[in-house]
Amino acid sequence: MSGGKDSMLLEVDNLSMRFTLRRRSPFQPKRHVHAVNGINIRLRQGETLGIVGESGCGKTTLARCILRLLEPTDGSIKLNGRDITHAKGATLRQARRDMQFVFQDPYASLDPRMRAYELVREPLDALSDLPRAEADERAIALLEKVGLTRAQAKQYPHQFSGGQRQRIGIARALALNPKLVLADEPVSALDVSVRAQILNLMADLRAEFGLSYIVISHDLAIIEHVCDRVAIIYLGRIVEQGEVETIFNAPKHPYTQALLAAIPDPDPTERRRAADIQGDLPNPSAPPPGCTFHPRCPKATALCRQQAPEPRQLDGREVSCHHTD
Amino acid sequence: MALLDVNNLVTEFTTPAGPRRAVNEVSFAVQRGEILGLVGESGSGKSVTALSIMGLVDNQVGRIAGGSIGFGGMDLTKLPAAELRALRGKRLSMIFQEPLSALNPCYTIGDQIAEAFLAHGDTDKRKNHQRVLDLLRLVHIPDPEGVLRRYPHEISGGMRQRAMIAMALAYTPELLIADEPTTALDVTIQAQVLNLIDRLRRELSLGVVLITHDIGIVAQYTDRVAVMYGGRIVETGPTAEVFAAPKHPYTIGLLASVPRLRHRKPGEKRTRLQEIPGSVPSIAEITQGCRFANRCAHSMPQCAQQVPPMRERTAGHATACHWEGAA
Amino acid sequence: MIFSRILKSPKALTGLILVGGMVLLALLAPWIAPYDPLAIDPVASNQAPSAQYWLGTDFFGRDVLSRMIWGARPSLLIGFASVLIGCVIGSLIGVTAGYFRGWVDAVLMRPVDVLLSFPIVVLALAMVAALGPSLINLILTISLLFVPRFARVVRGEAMALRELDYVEAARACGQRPFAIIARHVLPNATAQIIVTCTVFMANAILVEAGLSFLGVGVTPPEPSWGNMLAEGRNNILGAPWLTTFPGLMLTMTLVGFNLLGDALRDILDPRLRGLHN
Repeated sequence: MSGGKDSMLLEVDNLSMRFTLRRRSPFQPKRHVHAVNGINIRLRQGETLGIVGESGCGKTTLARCILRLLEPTDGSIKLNGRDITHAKGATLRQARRDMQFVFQDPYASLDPRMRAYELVREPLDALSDLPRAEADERAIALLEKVGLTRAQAKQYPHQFSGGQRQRIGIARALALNPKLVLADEPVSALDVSVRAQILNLMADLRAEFGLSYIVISHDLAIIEHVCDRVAIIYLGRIVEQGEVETIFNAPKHPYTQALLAAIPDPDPTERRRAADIQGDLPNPSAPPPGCTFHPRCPKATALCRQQAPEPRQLDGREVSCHHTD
Repeated sequence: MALLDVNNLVTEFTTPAGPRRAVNEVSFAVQRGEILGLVGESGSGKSVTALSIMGLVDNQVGRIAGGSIGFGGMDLTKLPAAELRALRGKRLSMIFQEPLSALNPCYTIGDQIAEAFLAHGDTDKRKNHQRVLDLLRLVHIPDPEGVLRRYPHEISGGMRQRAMIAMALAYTPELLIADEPTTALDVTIQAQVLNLIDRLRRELSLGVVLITHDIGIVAQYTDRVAVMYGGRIVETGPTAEVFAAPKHPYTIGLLASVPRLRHRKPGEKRTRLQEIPGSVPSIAEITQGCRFANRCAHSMPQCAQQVPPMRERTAGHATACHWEGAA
Repeated sequence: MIFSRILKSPKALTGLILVGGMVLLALLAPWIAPYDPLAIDPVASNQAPSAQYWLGTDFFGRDVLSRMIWGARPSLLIGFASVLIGCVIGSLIGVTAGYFRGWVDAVLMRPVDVLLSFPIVVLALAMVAALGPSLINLILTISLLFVPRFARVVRGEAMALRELDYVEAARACGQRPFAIIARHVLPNATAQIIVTCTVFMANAILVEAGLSFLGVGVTPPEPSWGNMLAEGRNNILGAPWLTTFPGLMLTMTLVGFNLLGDALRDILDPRLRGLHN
């Protein structure tokens, strides 16, 4: 079931997560939000995938579905060949050994009343049979691996800086030797001068442990640096997916093009007034018909208003657009 | 004459451990029609600098303890509160990072922008209504009549930020301070708002202080830049120059450590990012000498003892560093 | 660390001194009280404060000062014990309901809502009528009042805490729900629970006083501040010392608890922790 380096680690098929909104009265029709809508992802062992999107696109909901912190309303998730879409209880907890999460906010993701080594040890307490003393040692070893000292292992979260807390979070994610680590905006809450430390650390750990990452970020430069493949998400759907270089060098979907054009380039000699696309993100509970991007798309036609485009292969990547030229 | 001339500004906060300087002998100038970028991370003092200029430092917790702020021929640090209030919103304005919390959820957008007029004694309702509409059109808000009547939570983040800009421009100020105006916004909306600020700067000949931690924004939108670290300015100069030839080890490290879109070729090996070891100092720590010394690859014994003075190295490009490599 | 902050806060110190003083009074009663609180002296009936009886005497000639000191015992004992019992049971119910939500919440909280809807005095009267007015029964009755109130408060805390990242992190680690409650939710709700305890203790003492005043609390001749107030009520103008001094003790105790609770809330609030450091 779990094979060698090239085997399929994660298979997500047609994943959807539909939330029902609270109605004001039972007489009004039910309104839904498809936070995640028909997502397909394939991730091999050792690969890293970036998930890019702006606020409200559903990337955080997608992460929570994959981790089964939420139960998807449609579709399937297979981890290491095992279907975990509707797993519960002990089966689900065992599946957690293989996939762990690094949170965005280093200040909120650590229980302020626990010491660093206790935080890192918690996954071991929950899911392994290691006796307490051995678990302690493993936790301390992991903290040293991420750049903290044995003395610091006994300290409380408020005694660490943001970057150090994120290191603790990463050490915790590695406690059970997972195959997949999901990181939700792992450095956006950190100071700029500290981000490189954490990104380098993640790269080093990946090389040492053969980890697969799924990194969620709105920062395309970070994705390019850390990931092999990328999926661009707009309003719960993947609009373009493929190898990072293929997509960033020659984006085919108008939204991807807009994202890349909107990023201010840290090179003042290339003065390009970032091209802005008009309009704002539509209300997720009332998405536009047809292609959800058409109200903001410079290439939109009548076809786009009527029919949602299907994903197809083009120039080495998968893109969902009627007008890729 | 410079529009804004900040000279050796010192702002102190009272902490349980005693007074601490959040802004420590900071000097810079802004001309009309120019965008100055104030770059720094948490604890750099950039936001407190902005608040000090506006006179918004809460006097229960902090105060301006030294230096001067020259604006329109006056020293803002010496002005009585009432006069400062008369200037605020009229000749100098500020916009903040999080428009949702900067706008009162109980009042409509129209009412809040009109408040700027009411605060300065213009109470003609019909005239204000027209002026609010004009402002909303100035900041390119679609359907100004409709937005006027809506509440902050009913419009998007980008529109809220535009509404705040509209409020700040009520009296066509000479100076606009923007404190991380796009940090809370998505990147596509960020571009809209920054382009708007740039356009307004040209049309209205505004002087703008743009505070940010985003190197990309600094590169694309600022004419000159002042880099702040631990309450002091460590380097300042024309943006293109500072980026092309950074002199201070912090600036060098910062520019090198930021991941950039490089348009790699497929299969091209990834390079390791350059790190700056350690972390940003907190306001509570007192350091003698240079605050960056404990993270600096070029630190010498002198650095821990003596604060390096700001010296001009090439035209308009100055830095505060003992290292001879910063020449 | 918390103790030093308590010592630095004038509000907390005042509260601590008041409450601590009352507790000391109650504990040291046998040695401090000048007279036997039950000793009758018909000759000295209804005497104003004098050199012999510092706070005067009541109708039966019993020393008001001694009765007041001894009266602290049942008041404080019932206050502490009933709140403690209410806290333990109520917190367990509340944290479970708040963490699991859904049907667990509904099933646990409906009886709580029912209990809450009874007026305090009616419930207390009914319980005492059914069980009899012994000390234990009184403690149980009053703790029954606080079980639902604690459940409500702790449920709110649990609902807020379960949304925090670090609780979700524990779930992502594979922790079982009850382990998460025990390791993460309850410890972080402790601050709020402690503050609520101090405030409810003031209430408990007041309830006891009220019940004793109505005659269904501590039974005479045992003194309690409440029944002293009841006995002196008929003669407020003629013998004001009978009600004034027990009333004063009651007030000071309540003020002490409230000040302590208020100060603790500020000290223990994690959001303000940064300011203190």
